[in-house]
Amino acid sequence: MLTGGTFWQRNATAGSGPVAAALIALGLFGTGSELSAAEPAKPVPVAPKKIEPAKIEPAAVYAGKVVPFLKKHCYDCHGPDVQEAEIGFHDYLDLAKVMGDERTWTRVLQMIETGVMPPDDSPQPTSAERKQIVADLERVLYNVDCDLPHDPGRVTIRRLNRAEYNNTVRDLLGVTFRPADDFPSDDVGSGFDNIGEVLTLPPLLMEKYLTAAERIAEQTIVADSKAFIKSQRRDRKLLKSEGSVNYDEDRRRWVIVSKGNVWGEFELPRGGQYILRVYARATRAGDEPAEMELRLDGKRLKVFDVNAIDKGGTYEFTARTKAGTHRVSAHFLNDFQDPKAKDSDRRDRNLIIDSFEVDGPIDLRLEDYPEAHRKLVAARPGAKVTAADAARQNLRLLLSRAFRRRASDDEVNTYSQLVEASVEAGDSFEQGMQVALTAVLVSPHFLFRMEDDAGSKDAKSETTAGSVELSDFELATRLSYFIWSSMPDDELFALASAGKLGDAAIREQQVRRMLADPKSDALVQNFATQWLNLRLLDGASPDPQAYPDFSPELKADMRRETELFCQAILREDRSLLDFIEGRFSFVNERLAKHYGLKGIEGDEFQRVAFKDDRRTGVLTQASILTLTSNPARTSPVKRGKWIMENILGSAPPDPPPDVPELEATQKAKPGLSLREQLEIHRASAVCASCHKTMDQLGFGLENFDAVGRWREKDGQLAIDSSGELPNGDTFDGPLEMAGVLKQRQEEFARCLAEKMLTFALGRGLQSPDRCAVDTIVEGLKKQEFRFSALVVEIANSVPFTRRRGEGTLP
Amino acid sequence: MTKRLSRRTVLKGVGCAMGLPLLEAMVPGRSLFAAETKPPLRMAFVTFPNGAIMDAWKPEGEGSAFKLSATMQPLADLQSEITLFTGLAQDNGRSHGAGAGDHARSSASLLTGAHPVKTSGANIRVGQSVDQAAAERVGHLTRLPSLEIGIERGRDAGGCDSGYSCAYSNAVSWKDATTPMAKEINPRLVFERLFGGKQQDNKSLVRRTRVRQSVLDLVSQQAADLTGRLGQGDRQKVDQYFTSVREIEQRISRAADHKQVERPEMDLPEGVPDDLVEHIRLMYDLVALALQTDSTRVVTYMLANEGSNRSYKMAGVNDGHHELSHHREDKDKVEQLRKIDLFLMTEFASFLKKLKSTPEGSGSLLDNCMVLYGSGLSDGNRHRHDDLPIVLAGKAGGSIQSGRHIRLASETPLNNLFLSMLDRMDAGMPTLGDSTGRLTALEG
Repeated sequence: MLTGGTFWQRNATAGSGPVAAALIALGLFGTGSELSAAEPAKPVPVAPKKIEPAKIEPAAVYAGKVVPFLKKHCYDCHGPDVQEAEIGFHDYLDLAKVMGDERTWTRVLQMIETGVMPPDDSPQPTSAERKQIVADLERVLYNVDCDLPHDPGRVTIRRLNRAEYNNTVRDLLGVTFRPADDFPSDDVGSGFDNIGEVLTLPPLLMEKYLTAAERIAEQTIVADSKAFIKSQRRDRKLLKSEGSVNYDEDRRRWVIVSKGNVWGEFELPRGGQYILRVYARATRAGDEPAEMELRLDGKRLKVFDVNAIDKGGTYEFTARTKAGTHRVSAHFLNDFQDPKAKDSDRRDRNLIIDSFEVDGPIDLRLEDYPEAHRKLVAARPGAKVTAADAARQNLRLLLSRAFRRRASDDEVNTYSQLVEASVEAGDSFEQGMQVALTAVLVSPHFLFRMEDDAGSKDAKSETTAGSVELSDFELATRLSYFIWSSMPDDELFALASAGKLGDAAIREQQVRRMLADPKSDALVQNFATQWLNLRLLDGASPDPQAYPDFSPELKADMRRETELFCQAILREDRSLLDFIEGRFSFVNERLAKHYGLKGIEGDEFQRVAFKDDRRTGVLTQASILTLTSNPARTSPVKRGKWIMENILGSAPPDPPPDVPELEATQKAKPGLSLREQLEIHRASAVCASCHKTMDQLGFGLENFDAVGRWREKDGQLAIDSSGELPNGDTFDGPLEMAGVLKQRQEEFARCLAEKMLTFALGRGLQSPDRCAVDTIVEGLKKQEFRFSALVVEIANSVPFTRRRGEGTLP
Repeated sequence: MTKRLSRRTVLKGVGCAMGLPLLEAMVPGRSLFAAETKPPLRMAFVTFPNGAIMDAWKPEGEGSAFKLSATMQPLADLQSEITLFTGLAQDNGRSHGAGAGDHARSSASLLTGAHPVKTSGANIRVGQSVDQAAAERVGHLTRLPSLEIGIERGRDAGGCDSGYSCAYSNAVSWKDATTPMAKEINPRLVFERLFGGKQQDNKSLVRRTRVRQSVLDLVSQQAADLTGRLGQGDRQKVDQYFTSVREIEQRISRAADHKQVERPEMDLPEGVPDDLVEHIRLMYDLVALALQTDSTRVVTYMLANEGSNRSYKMAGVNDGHHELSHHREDKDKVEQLRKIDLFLMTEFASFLKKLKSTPEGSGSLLDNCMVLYGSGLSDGNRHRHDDLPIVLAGKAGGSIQSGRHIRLASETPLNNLFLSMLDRMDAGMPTLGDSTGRLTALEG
């Protein structure tokens, strides 16, 4: 499949509509020098920063307000004498130290804000004090004035990851196999596998890029037309027979014992020349060889003497025929028996058919070639056209699309010289084009999504104070990899050429168009599956003794359910809150049975609405419940942690390595329920700090076993699925817990916005990004938390549309 | 020096099904290295995650009069071939102020002796690993400078360990401080790396070399042009690209120097085997094949990513490995972990036996190897980074007096052992990571 018809076309009549017109007008179709290098990024003057007051004030707040609070409430466990969780506030003498450890302090703020710290058994600050310290800490930590232009961050150039590579070669060349599936996995950072800083390029991967490029080039450009001729084969049960014919099961061949024939049907794509071939042999009797008549649609083509006895022989005939379904048959003409022959091998003459083959059409025409071949080898050298000239014509568009910007004349020349040199070394022109395509696919301009400083460099003095706007082509690229995990399509390229993507309204229009395109499934496959940790389901292996009904098929169904659910939210532009409270889902028969739902049949998934008090949103889907369980039992801790991380956006840190208290409890009191064990666990302040929230949330899902089935009892013990959170919220059962989470919709929206912004940018977020997240969340609230609103707000956010110039900030 | 590898050795599906030791069978009566030439030394590092049950691991007694522990029983026939250590530590696995994340640190530090930067994204950095230090010095002598393989794909969602990028848990081999060496997990693709894909005639090989050289010439020029235009972080990525391109260019130009190894016959599944035992064994077979054919002299093999929560159903363990490793002295869990340790050791022992039954020079292939088997954690329950479970197999051409249990001063850097291994490979370095000296005890 080649998308991008218009962009490929070289003349105005083939393209249609404003897009093609724009492309032509802008010279993207042209062949001459009007194509220039990528547009320089536009330096934008930025208001001078309020350096002085901004720096003094937070330091004063820290010294004057925060430190006294810490001394009063926190030093007992996090001071010079004891450093629980390896945090000692006495180490943070001044603001600089605090700012150097954003991670810890974000955590500190969270702990205090949510009431988890100080622990219950210590003197508590009043609620007014708590509010004040939270405000003070925010002032200190997020000393970013969102009303002023702030740092949009700088994304390290991103190597295409595996999904992006597969999609890009699909959209660039119509490659349907997935070459990147054999690449080494992309490392994950900040929760996603598309983070520029984290994506490395070790020699093994370069090797894979090279072999993948060679393979793609060989398959898209046909250099050896013989190898390209299609061959169809019919053997074994694909053949049929008439008359006295037996099928020899052991040897898998057809034996015509007296009068009869074996035939097969072939679908031929078009009229033309075809080679018809029979693999046959015979057994002997008498003096004549077996005679085989080859027929096409009942008409005799040729009679062969079949002399092949032990090894099969090849009997072929070239015929011209029409498109459509054709019957090829082999008839045995001269049956003979001589039961008394001395040689027991010469008593019965039979004809044995192994298989039929039809090759062709062998008179290849241009339309038989892959579409990509026709486009890439549109110009060929001839009497007045040199190889280099033809290559130049073919390459200009390819390079521009592959590099996601206008290719420069120099680049086009370099590549066409490569073709020329190959031809001089003895290659055909097609082979030369294969070499050029290979060199495109391993180029850093293809493998990396470059965001070039060339523009801002010239104007360094103007940009040192702040940031630059991305060029239109860079914006097109960011949009397409965000929503499609692939390269921009013709329309995006055309808008980029026209310099229109800087306009927020046009960007919004594009985002909506892109979301409506089936390619936006990439958001489910690459964003949602990572956000929800759905990819970890692959590694889940429930204990077969405890869950004998669990199977790889069921696991695949679970994953599919969640994918379809996410897809529905995207396609129907539903509220993001449906992730928590959507009372519908998708099941097939197997999964319905697992859920105890009746009336669903077959492997196909159907939409179901939930009316019971059990299932709601992704939280209660078997996929999530399974991937947050231990193999043999549920884990309220893991489930709670999952909710904190992925719904509330407040990931708890990992536990300290050694937890003596629990060992002691287990030894002293065996036979406690899991809930009771965990309650004892929370008696310790260190553990309680996180488990107070985590376990309670997990308890809300205790009615689901480790593979997500509903249950009322865990062994002998009745399930208690009630909980109380540190902020006083209480719930009983999964639906009420979802209700509590829904009330915290702003936290959820912020969490999801942060995750999606991370994915969209391909970098971890930093404190100035808080401003962007604030804006996105505000926008979401105004638009009923619609899915599309999230994507639009991100596409129009400062960090998405701008980049910090080099050398401006540390 | 003829190489004979043409005997059809069919590893139908299960790598273990063959009766004959694979390698001997393929080199009938003859070694790759004639008796009069001194075979080169090879090194391999086989790593497992989550530590071990040390009570069942530690041998009794010292020197040559040691008794193998329960977990080591599979090595009973190989006692004279191995060297065991008590007292080796990887101090940089410890927190040193970085908080939680012992698993990520244990794998990141295991072969580097360096402390990883705690980051989930930006500025991944640890140090060059011992295998890559060796590959940098002796890698040019073989077709592949080094081989990195494993069983598990990298975790591709969520975090890996307490704010450490998954790169630290998914790799033990680091080309330099910022480039983890990706590992290959598909046996067929490992085989193709070692011996090439489909057979090609000489003419097409010559053409492929020419094409590859011209393609790589062009793109490395592009990378060089880019360097001047990019910011610091971007430049680092392009440098990495450049280095990788250079390495392949060098490999191509060296290819002519190395005699073409006849492609061995080996039936391999199309994809990654579903069966874990089969997968582990096929990979061991490929390591053996790589070393035997001198296709590379440096191998790392991760039996699982650090912190792996895989279950070992074939060993009767249905719970997750990492989950179990925090056993809190629960007898049942400890027992399960011992089963995992024993299972992995059994597979390792079979591999060693294969090396031992492959004649080379006047001895065996194993005699010319240093195969280190170990984990960056000892007690997984408490995340201990000292007294690591380490087995060193092979005699390094006679320069290691094996068959001993060596008790070292506690907290002896594991990197001291690495330095001594590098010396033997003729890849000596003054220091590596946190090394403080050499391990002279190896000589006896």
